Amino acid sequence: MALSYPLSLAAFQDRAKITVAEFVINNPRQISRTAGGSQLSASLGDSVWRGSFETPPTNVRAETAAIDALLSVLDRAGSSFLVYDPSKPYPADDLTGSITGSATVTIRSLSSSDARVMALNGLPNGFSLRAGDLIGWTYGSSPTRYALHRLVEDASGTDAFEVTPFIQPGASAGAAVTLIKPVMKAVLLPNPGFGSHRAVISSSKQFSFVQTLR
Amino acid sequence: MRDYGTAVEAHLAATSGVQIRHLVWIQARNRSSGAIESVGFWNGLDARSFTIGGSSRTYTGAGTLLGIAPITGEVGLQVRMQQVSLSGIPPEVLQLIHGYDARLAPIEVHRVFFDPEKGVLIGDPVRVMKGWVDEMPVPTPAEGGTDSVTLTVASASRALTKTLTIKKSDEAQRRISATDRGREYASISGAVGVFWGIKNARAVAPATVVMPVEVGNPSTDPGRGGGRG
Repeated sequence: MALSYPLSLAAFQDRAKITVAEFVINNPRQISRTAGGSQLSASLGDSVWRGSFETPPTNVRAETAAIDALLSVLDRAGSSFLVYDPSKPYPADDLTGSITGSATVTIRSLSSSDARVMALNGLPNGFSLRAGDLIGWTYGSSPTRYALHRLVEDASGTDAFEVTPFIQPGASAGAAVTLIKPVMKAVLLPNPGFGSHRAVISSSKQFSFVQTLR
Repeated sequence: MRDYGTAVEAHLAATSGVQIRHLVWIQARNRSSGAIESVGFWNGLDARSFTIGGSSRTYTGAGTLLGIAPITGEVGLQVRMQQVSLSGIPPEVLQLIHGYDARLAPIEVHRVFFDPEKGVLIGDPVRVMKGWVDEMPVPTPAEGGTDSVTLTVASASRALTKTLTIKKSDEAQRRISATDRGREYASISGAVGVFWGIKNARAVAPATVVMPVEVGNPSTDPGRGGGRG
């Protein structure tokens, strides 16, 4: 069956072994230092997630060839894929997903006067999300937007808490929230490293990607 | 200094850091229907609605607007040419280029302030430029390169360079209102002698343009009177 975009986790990320992963939010900004010693800063652009993956060297060429094929497809204009942070797939207090796996978590409220703040409904009793946990949800249409946010403080019950980056307008209360392997939609940056292949060992591949909302 | 409103001025006075975005709004003619339609770009993330002048406008983001040259404010009537760069890739920009006739389309640029701490809008967008699209060349980049569509925008003072009545024909007036006969005789005004309340020997037929077959040049018969007398 032909692929449809964004590629699902099963179609791309779950098929690749990843040894090194980088998953960061970048905040483009400029700094001016004044004679008075104060640092003035200004935002130059909005924050998006960026990341890079590295696959391990292997002696199974068939495995790496499959990834090569997917990378070459993703290296086209218009391709995108869903991706989660492989080093942080579960909340800190639920490392196997057994507690939150069956919970139905939704957005309880968003603040119109503060785009950092939100609250959740449906967290299991006594369970807390910790700072650094990732949550995600979808909103909008054509295309569906994938929001991925990181908690800045611990949260439990229906308390309001802060996330980063800022929550974009469009998300609404009641949207289903993913706590386990929350995804974002990403595009591959040009020229992925396919790696070189020797008689026995195929060397590792490196590629980078950046979040896209559309 | 521009008046950005009290909320923005208080925010700027705090020097806590700024997050400024620009909004570009173009009202171009749709090539297929002839209707004037609007398209907006901004240099923030994703599409977003802003309330400007009481109505909601949707601006598409995610890299459609790459940059705006420094906006100059000066005293006088000089027509300033301002440059606005758009990415040539997003479908909205392609639609503007190919689907709309943006020649001399009105364009407005607003500046909007966000709270860098909370990520929400401060005050209302303030218009910093208004004018017309003057040029919009569409380059194609080399492989692996990037292109940008650089719009040249003439400022609003270009309106003062527009010549007036000579362009106002009966046909133009009737397109505005089919029954408006106010300019019915505009094309022959001044060529016909009109006399009010007196008998005048010169009140004869208007001067006509005669095209002699041999000469091929139009000439006015001087003996027939009329003219501007």
